Amino acid sequence: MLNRIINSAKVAQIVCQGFLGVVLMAVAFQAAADVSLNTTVQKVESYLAEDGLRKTRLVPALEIIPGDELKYIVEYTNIGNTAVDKGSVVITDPIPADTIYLSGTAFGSGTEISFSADGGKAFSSERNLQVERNGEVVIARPADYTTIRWEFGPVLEPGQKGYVSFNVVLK
Amino acid sequence: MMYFNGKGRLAMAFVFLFGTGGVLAAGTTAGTDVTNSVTLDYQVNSIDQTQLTTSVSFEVDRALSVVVSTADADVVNVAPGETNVLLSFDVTNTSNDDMDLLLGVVDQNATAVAGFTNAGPGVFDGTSVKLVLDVNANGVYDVVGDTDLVVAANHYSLPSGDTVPDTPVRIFLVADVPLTAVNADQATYSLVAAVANGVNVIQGDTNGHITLGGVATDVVDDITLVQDIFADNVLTSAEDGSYNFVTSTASAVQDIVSNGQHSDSAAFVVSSAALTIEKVVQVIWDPINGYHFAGDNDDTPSTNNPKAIPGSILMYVVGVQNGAGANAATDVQIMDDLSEDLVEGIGTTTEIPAAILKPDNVTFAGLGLIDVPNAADASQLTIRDCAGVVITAPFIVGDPEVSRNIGTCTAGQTGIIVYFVTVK
Repeated sequence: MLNRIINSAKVAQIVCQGFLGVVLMAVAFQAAADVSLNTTVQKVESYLAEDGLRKTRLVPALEIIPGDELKYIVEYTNIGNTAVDKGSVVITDPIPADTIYLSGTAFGSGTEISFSADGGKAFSSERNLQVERNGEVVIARPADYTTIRWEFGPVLEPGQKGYVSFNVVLK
Repeated sequence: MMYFNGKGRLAMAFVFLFGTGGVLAAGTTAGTDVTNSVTLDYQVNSIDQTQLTTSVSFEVDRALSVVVSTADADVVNVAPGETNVLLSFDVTNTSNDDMDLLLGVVDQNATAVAGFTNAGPGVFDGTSVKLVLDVNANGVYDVVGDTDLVVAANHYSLPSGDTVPDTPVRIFLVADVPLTAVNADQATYSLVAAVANGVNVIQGDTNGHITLGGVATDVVDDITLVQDIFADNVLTSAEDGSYNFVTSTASAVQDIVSNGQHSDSAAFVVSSAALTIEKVVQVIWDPINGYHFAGDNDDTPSTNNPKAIPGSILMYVVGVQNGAGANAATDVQIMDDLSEDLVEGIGTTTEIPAAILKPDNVTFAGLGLIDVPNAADASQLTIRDCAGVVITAPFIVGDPEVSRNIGTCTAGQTGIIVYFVTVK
């Protein structure tokens, strides 16, 4: 209840104070929110290792051109002093425009991962997600995916953090 | 269940995105802002909390790449003296942005270029070499309508706006063939294209790669800026030439990856007809000694040994042969001016022999043994054209010139004319 009140107050500040409210919002958000959320993107670089094998590594996404593989990492942390309810943390991430999800790359420890091919209206597992193509209902291809959803099962205790990730290729 | 490692996954994505053609398609336009917005919902004590959102963005950089490929399936056969002969190239901007392109021509001379190994004994240089833009993209050089590309320094510029991504532009290399070129001579040219800003070649990218003659610039990578990256790293073109667009000079070095340029080659080969002509003459009768041959269509000589005295009859055979591997020669015309001391046919100045006894074959010094048509008639001129068809034709009364068309002679074919004259 306390969180709900604080968040309502934050919205009121934005409405009343305009641009200054945005600044204040950030301050209030840090102080009052129970959970923080952050996302980053890195480039998956292929390189020839000393053992002669071609391997991949993550590098800063400074130069990105069509065909590059990217890894998005979403971090969440319970920064409050109250546990977040079991099974209530749901992360929803629309796959960025101009990218295609790379099959099998969605990851999230302790989460149930599902996908949508209709902009987030309906979700299903990667294996069972269906779309209609040429009048037939078929298993969706990664290029059909529009949204990924992670549902974190356990309680998120105060101070506990987790992350989810997925890879795409830039069209 | 199937598992793929990272490389396999990306390979599959490439197949889906770009097909298997081997050329990187343009892809997402440079400057596009790609934003990932993520939301998080949660509950505390069974009460929904305000949804959290966050996002991260980047700008798509310029992946600079150009592909040159010849549109000629094989060497282009030309003839000495032929004008406006064409080599055809398709130049495609495979960058993810509209690009200016510069073009350079490398005359490979005797360098063996893969796919165009110089099989001939020599090379020739085309004259009046120029590059022409196929404006209406009909694959045909329209002297009126197509555009001669502008030469700046020693290279060419494509008109602005012609190089949108993934849209091939047909470029003709137009040249004239010198008359001094001989059969099987070859002229191999490489067309080199480079990415440019306006008329200035892009000398380097933010990855430290430079084009031929370029100078690297220390550019700090910035996720929020659209930066240049040479993306011709998947192109292999070891057979091609390079061009230094900084100094505007052709280079002997071959094209390499990640230098913002690409090239391909095509070649002219001289393939002219190789005609040889020979003439033999035989006294076949004189009014004193009689016949040379023992019988008609018989190569066996008699012991009469007729001489070329007034009133004697001579047989002329003129042979024309097109050499092996040569181009077909059309409308081959044999002309032979007769001496004023000779008269076409027989019996005009002396008695007429009982019969004309001619040989079955004659032997040329170069053409070898050639069959004489049995139907050859001393009163007429006999033609066996290159296709082997025998025609008899009357002499033209009063014309001292023998002139007959033996048609088209393809490689290795021989045509002859046979006629008889009387010595005045």
